[in-house]
Amino acid sequence: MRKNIGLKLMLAVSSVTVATIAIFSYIIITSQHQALINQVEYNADRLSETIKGSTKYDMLLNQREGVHRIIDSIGEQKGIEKVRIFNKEGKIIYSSDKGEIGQLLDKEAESCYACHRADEVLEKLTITERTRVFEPSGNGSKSLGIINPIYNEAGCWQADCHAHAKDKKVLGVLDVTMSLAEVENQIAANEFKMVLLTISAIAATSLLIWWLVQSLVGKPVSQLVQGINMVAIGRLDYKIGKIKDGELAYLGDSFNKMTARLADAQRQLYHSEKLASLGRLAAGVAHEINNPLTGVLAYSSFLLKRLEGDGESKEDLEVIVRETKRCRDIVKGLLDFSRQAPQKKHNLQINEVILNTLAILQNQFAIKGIDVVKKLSPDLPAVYVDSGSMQQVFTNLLVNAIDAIGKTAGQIIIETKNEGGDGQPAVRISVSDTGSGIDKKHFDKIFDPFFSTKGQKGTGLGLAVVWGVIEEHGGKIDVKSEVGKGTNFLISLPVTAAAGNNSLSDLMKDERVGS
Amino acid sequence: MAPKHDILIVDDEPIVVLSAQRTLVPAGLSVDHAGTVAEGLSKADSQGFNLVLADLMLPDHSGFDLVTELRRLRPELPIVVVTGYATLESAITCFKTGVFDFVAKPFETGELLGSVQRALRFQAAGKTSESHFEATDNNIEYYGLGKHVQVRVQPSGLAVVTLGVTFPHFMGKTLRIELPESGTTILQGNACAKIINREGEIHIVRAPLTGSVLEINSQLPGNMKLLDIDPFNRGWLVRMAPTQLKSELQHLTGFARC
Repeated sequence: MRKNIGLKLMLAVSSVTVATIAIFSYIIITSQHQALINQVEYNADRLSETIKGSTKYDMLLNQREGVHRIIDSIGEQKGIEKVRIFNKEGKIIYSSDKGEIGQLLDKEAESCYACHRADEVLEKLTITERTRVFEPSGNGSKSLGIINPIYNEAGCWQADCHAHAKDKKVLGVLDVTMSLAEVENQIAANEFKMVLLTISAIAATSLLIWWLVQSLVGKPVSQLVQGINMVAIGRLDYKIGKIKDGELAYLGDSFNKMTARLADAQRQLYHSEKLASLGRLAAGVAHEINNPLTGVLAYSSFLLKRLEGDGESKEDLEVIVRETKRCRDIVKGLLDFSRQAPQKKHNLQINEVILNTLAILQNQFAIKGIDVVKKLSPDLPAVYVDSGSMQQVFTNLLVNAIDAIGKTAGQIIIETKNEGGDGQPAVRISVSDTGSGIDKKHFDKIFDPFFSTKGQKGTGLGLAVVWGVIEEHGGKIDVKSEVGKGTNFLISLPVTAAAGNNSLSDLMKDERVGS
Repeated sequence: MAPKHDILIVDDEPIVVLSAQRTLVPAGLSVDHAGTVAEGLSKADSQGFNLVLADLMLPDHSGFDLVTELRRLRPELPIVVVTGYATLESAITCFKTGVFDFVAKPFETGELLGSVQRALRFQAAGKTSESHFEATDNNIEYYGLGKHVQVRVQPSGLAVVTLGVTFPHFMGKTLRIELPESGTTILQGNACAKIINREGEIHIVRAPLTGSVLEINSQLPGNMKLLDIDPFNRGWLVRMAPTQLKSELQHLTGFARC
């Protein structure tokens, strides 16, 4: 998965990079090419003007040798391929390429075409129109040719040679051909640089993306995957380590929150299922077992009476009677637990239930010298609860607190708080005492049915009932305790929609907060 | 008409019938039995008994039908329901129809004898609770699980449990009383006191309400006479904090004293 993300990102970014650089390069190289050609063109034009200027005098004097010399010496310069002059008929009069002299050029030839392309011969041309780029045969590189018409002027037809008539406008054409090899080399070098740049840009971005994906996505994602795998094998206590920041950190936090809630829900579900199946089992077993147990109990009692004189048998029978009664008590205990009064829930102020419970127990507090501190928040939202069950919860917790404090005077603090905290609004109730406390090793068991630290005295059902009631109300109960210092039970009851205090918009807000 | 038998047992479980017979016959009581509601009704109607022991789980009809029908046919005939803890709630509701007592299976012989003898004595005394009558909603002084046990609910919510009118003077010579420890939670219908007499009869007092026991009458073990001479005041049994008061009151009957 990681590889895919990285690879896809790299491919995407690389193609964008390639396209961008290619377009840039194309624009840059084209304009560079144009600029270089223009430069060459300009130079060629200047050169042809120079040639024209420097040969003018020789021409007027009809000193052909001088013209040849100038043309030859210029034609030898580096980058200049050919310099030639041809007359109106296309006959090459002067040329740096001696072999060419005297040859007749066709009007279709590249150097003539500019003026002779239309039926009417053009006499004035712009610099661009005079320029041509062509590829001479047998040569790999291109050439740039520029023609420069030699116009008739007074000196020409007045000269002693009388070579030119007065009515002619153009006497001939000076054609300078320059090599573009240099320009092409430069452009090729630039293109190479561009390709190199593109490759290194791709390499650099890919490397950067790889690193980013690894550190920003890869590592957190592998942490998340690890977490998910742990949850998949049932390790709900697994926590994902700190992810630096960004959405993945949020994801990690949410994941941890989710597993915590899942663990919570699972624990509650486990407990409630345990209780429900226990109840069903108890009812079934009790029904089946009561009748035979009646027989055992009755007949062993008869036998006991009949064997009054026989000490040894009597003792044995007493064991049977005693143990049968124990069976009966066990069955009875199971059934007591499964007997739960049907609940009737209403919108209630939990403070009222607490105050009612305290009123009932008032005498007990006074007898035992227990100081009860009430810290009841006056502005609590109503909770949707069964008052009887809630009263049972507080009675059981308070009676436990009284027992834990024992004969020495102590204190019980009962506190209620409005807790809108993280998402779900809730009412929090805390019952703490300064009693004997609960050993940490019992924390897991105190809410189990039939677990009691009170020995014969306790039924072991008090806290199991408390747990059942709180769970039935969608709440939570927690215990903190230290041996010798006291115990603190913390109950959280949700303020639900059924409490009737919430408007629809509040609910929707809650939805958003929860999501 | 003189009854052929003292007691009719209606139960479909032979071992229970046998156990009851073996318990009651040595006490000088004659016993007949029926296995179904129909048979029980026909025997009770035609033969006349001093007492009916009725199971609540019978093959043809519910024991509740048997009880209500018996109450209609023979209102003077005391009924003791004998049933398991699984049907305890039904047993509690039976008190409203006028059932005398109930014995939970599996029972000790003393427990069955206690209920049966007390019922027979109460019946023989021709006792109709002349000084107590069912109250209207306005003049309720106390509640009762039938006439079995009474409870006064104080304004604070504290409940004081005392014997019902079927106990005092009908328990024989009381020997000792067993009361629960304070702090224990007792469910409605479970034993909240056991009174044992010299004949070995065990008279179980059922809790009228579910709640935590806050206090027990510490005078009682040393002064059992209080149960006979002042059962509704000084002879109180336990004070408890009821936790299901509202829902459980509907199983109770409101009484007033004249």
